[in-house]
Amino acid sequence: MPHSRSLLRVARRLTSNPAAAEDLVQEALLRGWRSFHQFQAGSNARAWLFRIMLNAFFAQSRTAEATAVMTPLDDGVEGALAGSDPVAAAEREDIRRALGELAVEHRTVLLLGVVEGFTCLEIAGILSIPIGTVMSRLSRARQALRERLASRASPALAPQERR
Amino acid sequence: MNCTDITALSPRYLSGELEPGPCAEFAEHLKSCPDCAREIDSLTRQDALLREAERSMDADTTALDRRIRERISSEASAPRAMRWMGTAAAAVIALLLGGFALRVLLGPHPTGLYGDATLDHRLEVIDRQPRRWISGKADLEALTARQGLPVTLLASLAPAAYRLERGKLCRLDGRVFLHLVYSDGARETSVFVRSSSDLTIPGPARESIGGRRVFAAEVGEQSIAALQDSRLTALFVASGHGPAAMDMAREAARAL
Repeated sequence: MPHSRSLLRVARRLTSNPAAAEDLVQEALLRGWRSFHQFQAGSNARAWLFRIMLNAFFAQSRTAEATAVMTPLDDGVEGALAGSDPVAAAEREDIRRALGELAVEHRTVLLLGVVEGFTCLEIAGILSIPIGTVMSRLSRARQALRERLASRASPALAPQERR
Repeated sequence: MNCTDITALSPRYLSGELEPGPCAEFAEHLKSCPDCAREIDSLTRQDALLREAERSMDADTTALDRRIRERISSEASAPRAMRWMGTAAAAVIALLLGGFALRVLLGPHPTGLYGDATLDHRLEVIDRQPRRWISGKADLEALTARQGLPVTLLASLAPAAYRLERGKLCRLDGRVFLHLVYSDGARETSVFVRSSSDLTIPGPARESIGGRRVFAAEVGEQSIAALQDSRLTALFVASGHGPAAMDMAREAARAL
């Protein structure tokens, strides 16, 4: 199921542990099934499911204690990439850790826009916010990620001086 | 375009959704402004690293997928779900589950002509979701003529013992079709027809009858058949598997 993999990838970076992430994806697909009569045939099914999942996540977050949660990085296997290039593996680990340290609203737009490839317009629909807000949030999120990485002294990605 | 514009537009540039005109201006500015070029390059590289880093951590979803399917199946057959949907027909529930799987769980497969046609049949004919149908004979003939189709087609497409009940226009795979619903009093079947052969029917033709190619497939719980010649394309959708859709297509190929 292509969408469940995509949904799980994002859920794992929003929730506090892998089981909670799977529960969130399951909840999203169940809600999708129950509200399928509202789905417009031919429209963007993936974006629609992400909208359902993020609504469920934010509803859960409101009732739970608000914390800067992140999935522990030592679960899951990096796969074939891991052994072949330790420098690249370290860079990937750095950026994953940096992403996990961002505020949830920055982490969310980066996951949707950069990792999952949604356009700003699609993200606006998924999060029910104006496209202008998506654009400024993405800019700030990219900047925040860059600053986190720079503070870990990754010289390749340190911010350049701008006149 | 100046550096301030570049900053403002960069999210839509980086997502690839900037329109061609502004996109070309954006690229022009980068050619002449090293600071902006460095900035966009840095963000592009950061994005690529983030994407690769996150996607390299993909988990296996086999067990999760199975749990979700089981949960949906058990909900679909629960008495509460049946009452909620206003029908006791298990076949309809299976169709709904099939339709949901078609459109959502299976991602982009099946799409296009067959996917759209079977989905329309399920939502509009079986589920009877509200639509603006045309019912009067004269109105249906006028609608048919406006689509560049001969009105004699309405009878030629009718399966044996079925009568034309209603019709309307719809879009399948982005193209306008006439959606006709025929009934024998107990069952309803959908025929979608378009006055051209400007589209490719999936799969090889099963038969050729009177110079018309006939195709068939199964999509979820429904069977679908297609008929194409130089002047028109018609799709026949029947609920359940078996020869019904193919028989209708063969009959129509002989009658045309």
